[in-house]
Amino acid sequence: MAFSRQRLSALLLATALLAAPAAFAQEAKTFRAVISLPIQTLDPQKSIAGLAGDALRTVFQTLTFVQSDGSVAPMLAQSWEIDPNSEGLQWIVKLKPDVVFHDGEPFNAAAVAANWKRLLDPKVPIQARSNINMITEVEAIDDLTVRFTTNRPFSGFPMAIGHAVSSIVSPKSIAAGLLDDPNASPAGTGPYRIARFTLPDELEVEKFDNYWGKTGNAEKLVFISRPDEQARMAAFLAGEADANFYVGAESRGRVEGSQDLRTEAIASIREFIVHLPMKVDALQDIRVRRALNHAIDRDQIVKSVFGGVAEPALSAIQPGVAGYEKLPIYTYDVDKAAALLKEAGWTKNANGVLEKDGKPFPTLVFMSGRGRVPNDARLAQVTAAYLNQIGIPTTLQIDEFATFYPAAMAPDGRGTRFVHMSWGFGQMDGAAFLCTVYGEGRPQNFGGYENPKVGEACGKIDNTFDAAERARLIAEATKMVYEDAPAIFLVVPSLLAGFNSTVKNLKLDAGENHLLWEVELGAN
Amino acid sequence: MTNILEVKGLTTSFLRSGNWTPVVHGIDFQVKRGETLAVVGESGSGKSVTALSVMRLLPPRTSRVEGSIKLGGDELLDRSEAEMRGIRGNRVAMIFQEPMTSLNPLMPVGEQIREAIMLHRNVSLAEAKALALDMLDKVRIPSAAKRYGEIPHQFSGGMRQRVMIAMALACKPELIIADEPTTALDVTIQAQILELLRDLREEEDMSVLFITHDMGVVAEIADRVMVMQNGSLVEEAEVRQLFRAPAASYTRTLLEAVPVVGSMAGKDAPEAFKASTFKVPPSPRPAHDAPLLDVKGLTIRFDVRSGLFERVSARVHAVENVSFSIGRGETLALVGESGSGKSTIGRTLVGLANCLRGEIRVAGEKEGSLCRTIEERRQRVQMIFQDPYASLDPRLRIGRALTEPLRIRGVSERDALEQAAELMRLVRLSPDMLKRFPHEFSGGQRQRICIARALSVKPALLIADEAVSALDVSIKAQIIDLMLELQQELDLSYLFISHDMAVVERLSHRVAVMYLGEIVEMGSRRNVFENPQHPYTRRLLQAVPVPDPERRMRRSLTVDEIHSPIRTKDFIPPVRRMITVSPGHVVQQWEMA
Amino acid sequence: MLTQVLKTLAHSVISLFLLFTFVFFMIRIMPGDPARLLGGAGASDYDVQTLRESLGLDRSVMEQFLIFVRNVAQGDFGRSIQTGQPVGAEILTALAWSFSLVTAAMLLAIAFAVPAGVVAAVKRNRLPDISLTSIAVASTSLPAFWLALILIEVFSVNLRLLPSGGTGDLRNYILPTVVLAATQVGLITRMTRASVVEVLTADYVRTARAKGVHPYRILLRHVLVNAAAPTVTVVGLQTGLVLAGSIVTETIFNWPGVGRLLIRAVQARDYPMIQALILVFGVAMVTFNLLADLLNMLIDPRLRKK
Repeated sequence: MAFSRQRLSALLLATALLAAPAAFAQEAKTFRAVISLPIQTLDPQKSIAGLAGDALRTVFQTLTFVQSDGSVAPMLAQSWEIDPNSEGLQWIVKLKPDVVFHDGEPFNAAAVAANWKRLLDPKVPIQARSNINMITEVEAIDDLTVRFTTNRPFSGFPMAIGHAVSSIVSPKSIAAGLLDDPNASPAGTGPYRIARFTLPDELEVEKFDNYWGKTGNAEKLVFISRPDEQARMAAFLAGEADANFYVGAESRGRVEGSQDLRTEAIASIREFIVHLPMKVDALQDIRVRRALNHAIDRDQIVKSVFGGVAEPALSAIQPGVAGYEKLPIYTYDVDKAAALLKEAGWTKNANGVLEKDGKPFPTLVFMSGRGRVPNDARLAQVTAAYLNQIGIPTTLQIDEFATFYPAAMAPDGRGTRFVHMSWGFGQMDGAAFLCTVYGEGRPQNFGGYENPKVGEACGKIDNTFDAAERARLIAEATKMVYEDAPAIFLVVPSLLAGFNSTVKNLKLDAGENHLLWEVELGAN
Repeated sequence: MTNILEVKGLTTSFLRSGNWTPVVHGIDFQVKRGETLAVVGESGSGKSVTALSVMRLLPPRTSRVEGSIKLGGDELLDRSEAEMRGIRGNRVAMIFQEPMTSLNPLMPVGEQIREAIMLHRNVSLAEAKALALDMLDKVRIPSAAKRYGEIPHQFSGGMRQRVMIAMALACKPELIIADEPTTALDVTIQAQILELLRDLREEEDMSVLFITHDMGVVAEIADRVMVMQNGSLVEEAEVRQLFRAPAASYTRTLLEAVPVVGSMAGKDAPEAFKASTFKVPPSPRPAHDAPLLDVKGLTIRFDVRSGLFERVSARVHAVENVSFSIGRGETLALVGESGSGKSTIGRTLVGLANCLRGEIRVAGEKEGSLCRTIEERRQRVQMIFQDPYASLDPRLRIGRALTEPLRIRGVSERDALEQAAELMRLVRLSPDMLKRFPHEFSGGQRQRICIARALSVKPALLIADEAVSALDVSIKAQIIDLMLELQQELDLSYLFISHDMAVVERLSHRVAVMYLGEIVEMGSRRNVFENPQHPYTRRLLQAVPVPDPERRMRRSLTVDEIHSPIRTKDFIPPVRRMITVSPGHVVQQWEMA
Repeated sequence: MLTQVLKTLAHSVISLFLLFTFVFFMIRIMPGDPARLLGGAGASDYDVQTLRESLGLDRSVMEQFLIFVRNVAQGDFGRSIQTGQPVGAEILTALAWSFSLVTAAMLLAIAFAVPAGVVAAVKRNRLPDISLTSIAVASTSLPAFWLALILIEVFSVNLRLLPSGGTGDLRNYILPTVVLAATQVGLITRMTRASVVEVLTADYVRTARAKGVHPYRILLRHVLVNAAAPTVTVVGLQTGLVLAGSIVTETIFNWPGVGRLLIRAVQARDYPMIQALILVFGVAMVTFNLLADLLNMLIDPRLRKK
């Protein structure tokens, strides 16, 4: 029909006209990144969401900064030290002078105190408060000196005040309630100030002229949230973004195959572990627990489940933190696993199920979330298959994360089911992982692991204010836990970011504290 | 006289599963100026196809028309589709059977007539509108100007058919083809429309090709008649000649099968069409005195709800204080026109509708039920409907359909099958047919199956709701004969609901005439037909076309409508008094108009 | 007619209230604890309890319900557990985005499907019918995400003609509109075809032909108006459904609409947001059905009862 032909040509014409202006030509020195999580808030003290919070780190800063190697560097604080007369309970922090907020307010001790007044106010729902809840009081001593009081000796303090939750916001913005208003621009001290925010999709920040430190050459940074992996990749491939946090393993080839694009990977601060249900009699035998750890082919999992974008977990805590060291003890060795089980009295029966004194190994419920982090469900399935191989019967129970997590937390079932979990702690401190995940009675200790030595070690670590000695203690305790095998240590997924060739000098960080403000944009 | 239409060797074929199958076999006929030629035949005779062939309205891809069709000397079969459009509605116009569906429901009736005028006459919009109004006046639609802008929905069936006629006449065509134009109408309305057509033919000097299955209508309206059977011309004759001395045997069979009102005059008992098949002739009176069914004061009303809270705004007084009884082996006919409530009574007796008041008692029940259907009655009272095809599940073999009521009652598979075979023999069908599906049967056979199914539970009373109305005359006669035979054999009672006075006269012992939900006259068939009292009974009997052109009579040209039984919410039905005319013959007292 | 509308509205309010009550209690039975999820990995039981109190989730479900009903009556739908923002404002913004997208998509779908359905009906069982019907059914049978990815791959990644997602200017509408329209084309085409086929065999169409009316005029004046009702109804119904149910399209194109909002809300067990969204979806369904009914009454006077 003539009329439909007309319509078709009209449509094509309209498409051509709309597309004509070179819409995606990059504005001068704007760095655009697609990120994987929605930006739910502009409040850095409430934001816990990985890179979404990281975007805010270009606007809001912390007193200290935990570097990729786990060491602590000054940021808004010049120095910090424990008050020798306080029995390890008080810290004196000296602030950097001549720092101003984006709204012109001066940064000083009063401003820090004002922020902590908010952070310590139980009525303000601060989600990550557990990272700082040992701090009980914060006072301004003079214009640039602040005294922090903790309720117990806490050597992790320098890291705690470097956690995103401890970000410093202009007191004026706090008083005006700007943090709760997605249309407002709360002020920080960072190299960039908020220019535009569309909840929860886009955040644009622009260079702050009165910034106290050094930055790269980007005038603007734009963070575009694209939670869907394929949508994120499409925007990156279409040239709508200079960087993609993060690239899925299956897209790696596509990015690396392109001349203008490259990927960079860094081990994340996440570690997949399976909490072993310590209340199950059979698992109280350390030989059985070790056998389970020997039954898993981590290299194969890295290859087949994660497409190579991961590394085997070789410690009880995540890499990149103070006290981490690789402990390659649990090699994949089915014979060894079988030998250990036999030693413990377990042998396979005709059905391939372990049996001891005529009683079969109890069938364990293997719980996992789905879709929270890439490959979580698949990893659970593969792990369960490895366990079945050595004769441990399991029932998989994979749920949406929102269902799985509270169920895993439920105290009544604690210690009776496998719980498969990916742990990562924003606080770049090995002690945080160690003491939270394996500490007796801690809510995150899903396996119900009870080892008084962990508690002892953690108390000692908190009381050790020498960084090197503290790291040594963490490493020692970690090794002890690792050998005791209260969990199956699986893999550490890597972060794989994609960049186009204009992006230079972007330092990735295991804790997702990428140094975005140092990015240099060059010609192609 | 000149021939307006001259048809020679007309052969119409349809493409059926790849083959051209002729359905009209080379027929010749003419319509002279000012003449009405009636085409009669039963379903499948090709009479409608002939009409559509003349109009060239058959789908061109699946039909083929050969021969010669000359309209006023012009060969229509040589015309292009565009030229035909200039002829249709202009030189030849058509009136269809279904007035309810043949008008565009969303277009004001005046517009539909105006459209026809503007297509063929070079007139302005205003002139066309004026012409359309004239046409509405001409077909005697009251206050035509007011009704010009109303949609068909606001018109009754008879009024719609008047609109159809106005539309057909709008361009003063040389030929009008009327395809069963009164078949779907009530008998009193049919009489009015036939009258109108006759008047208009005289006024306009129209030539009419009138297609019908109804010999009565033929006798009323035709000048000449052609009889068709299986696509061939059987006989063509002047109307008096045909009725007086039919030449073809088929015509004779057809005429014999036509029930004629008044043909039973002087007889008391029902009479079969082929009396020879009967061992014992039907008796004039029921064998037993005790009534099988006794209905007292039956009242059925439906609420018409509207408004925010579905409040009752009006009520349909479908059945109002109706009492009657039926004896064993007796046939009571309920006659009346649409909206008279006759079907509602039947449906209530088998529990398909709820009544408001009244007592229904079937002999053998311990006590009469007050408007409730007791389970026991379901078995003793069965119903058959007008459309036998719609009453059978098309995906169920007949065997299943017949055994199911038995299986529900716990009869074993084998016994049920045996009984089904017996039932088939009872309705004169071969038990071999049990394996077939409903579509493999003809209409008459399907109705036999429906009767068999109703009989499977051995009922005492069979309610037949227009059970033979949709059937061709010859088939109709066979089913009536079957029903009479079964009554004899099984001592059945019938409640025979029908609008067809001739059929009713043939097979009923007693007749109840219903009008707007009430029985206005009831008595023995002979009394009611030969000595009607109530004006409505008289009007009804008078309106029935008589299949005898000698007795053709002119009726006064009224535009009466059948009134509606919808009343306001606070309507209180008047108290009626029944007058006894003679023993067993009662009539409702009426006001003299 | 007005009473009919009022009646429909009254019925709708009751069913919406029931739906809403049902959802309110169902989501609280659904496993998952918003406070626990909000608290994140490091939260202690104490922290979670504090959060729970600050969100009002420590009260009994019945109490929560009464408070909520009271607040809704005052036009207050509460605050989102995820963002802390007033739920109403977030939904209104998202609704505007969804509505504009759905409107564009339905218009596009109608622009294709109605002519296609009519042509298919007129040429039924012939090539135009078979090809148009196949295209329509195929476009609806294609999974939306697959079609979306193909279009993005071609028009965004390879040709770089159109943005791959997000909002911005009118060009951002093109791909999601096409994808969403494709999901609807099949149903509307089939519905239009079916009702036109039915009307084409109607007696009054034969009457019109017997009058000598031109086929195009028959189509326009006699067929289309009479065949409109089912299509209008289905478009109304689908508009309501698509408004709530274009989750896939909204996710892939990162369209900030209500579908995506619902997914996020469910994942976080954001009760106030879920409740309000369900209510909004219900209202949207009712509204569009009502609009379709009104339009049908406008077309067909028989539907207007006195």
